[in-house]
Amino acid sequence: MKTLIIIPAFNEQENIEKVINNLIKNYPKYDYVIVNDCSSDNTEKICQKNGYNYISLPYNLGIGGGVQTGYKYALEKGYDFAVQMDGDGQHNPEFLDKLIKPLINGECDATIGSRFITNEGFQSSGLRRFGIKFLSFLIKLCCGVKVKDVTSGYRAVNRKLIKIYSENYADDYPEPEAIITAKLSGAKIKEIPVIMNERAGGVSSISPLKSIYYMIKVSLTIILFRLTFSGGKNK
Amino acid sequence: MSLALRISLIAGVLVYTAVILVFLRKKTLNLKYTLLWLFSAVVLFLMALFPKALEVVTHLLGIEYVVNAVFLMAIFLILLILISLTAIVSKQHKQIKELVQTIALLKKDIEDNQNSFGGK
Repeated sequence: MKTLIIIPAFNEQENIEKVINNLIKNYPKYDYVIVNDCSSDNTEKICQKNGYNYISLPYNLGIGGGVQTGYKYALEKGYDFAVQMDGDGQHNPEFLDKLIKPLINGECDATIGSRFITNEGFQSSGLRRFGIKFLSFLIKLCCGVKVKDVTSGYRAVNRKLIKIYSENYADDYPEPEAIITAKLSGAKIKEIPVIMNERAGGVSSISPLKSIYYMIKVSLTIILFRLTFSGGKNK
Repeated sequence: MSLALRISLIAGVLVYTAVILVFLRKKTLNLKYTLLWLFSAVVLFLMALFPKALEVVTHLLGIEYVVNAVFLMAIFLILLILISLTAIVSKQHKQIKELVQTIALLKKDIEDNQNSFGGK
């Protein structure tokens, strides 16, 4: 059973070394790949210098296109499971085993690391939590799957979903949409309680103004996606 | 529809068609993407050519002046072309994304191969 950890990285020179060195040292049983989404800082140089396993995109695709590249890599190299983990240190690799175990046991096809089950660790601001609750409700309404932390980018999938995601993955703000893609393709999704850290360095990709755009775009996407989904056959 | 309007409409459509044909000859435009533009020219040309039929349709639609029907048709054709352009952009966006991903994965393969040969 081969597992790949996909680490999307865009301008993560402050965090990437810490994150990867921790993985290499403490979790050597998992393979990893960094997808450097055409960073303008020294992310690529750091990867090269340390001999990390990384893919560098020649042009910025955004988080969705980056993560999808990781899924394509996982598909090509024959991995059984893939985990998405941010390169900014928010996601603690302690929980990797917990995320992957239900997949190995065949209990479900996807696991999502959720902050809102035990409500421990970094919880985000009140307004953002409200936004997440709303999206969670919308997803429940549209495709009948209850996921509390819909925006969590810490998740694991099996080979079936690796294949689906490498064909079909949203470009920006892809996390909620990926849940729907999975659900409508007949996948079983399970939420696993995790504790997330606040970012150690750098800036979050979502500013206050962008969050308004985020809410509108993602809500519309969820509704339209439900209305236009064609059974996973659309290429 | 007044004769003056018909003549100016026909003249306008002829100039417009000529411009498209010139661009096509110079290969500035791809024939596939000018079909809708040419179709629009034909529609507007027919409207100028058969004003009686146009008047009937105008009244059926509840429009007072024939010239407004001409405007309405022109707007409709423009919308059609804009939608087709958005469709083309979306398709190209997807193609470029896939191209970028393929290049990135191939580049990684090449580098990995070079490294493993260099190591031996």
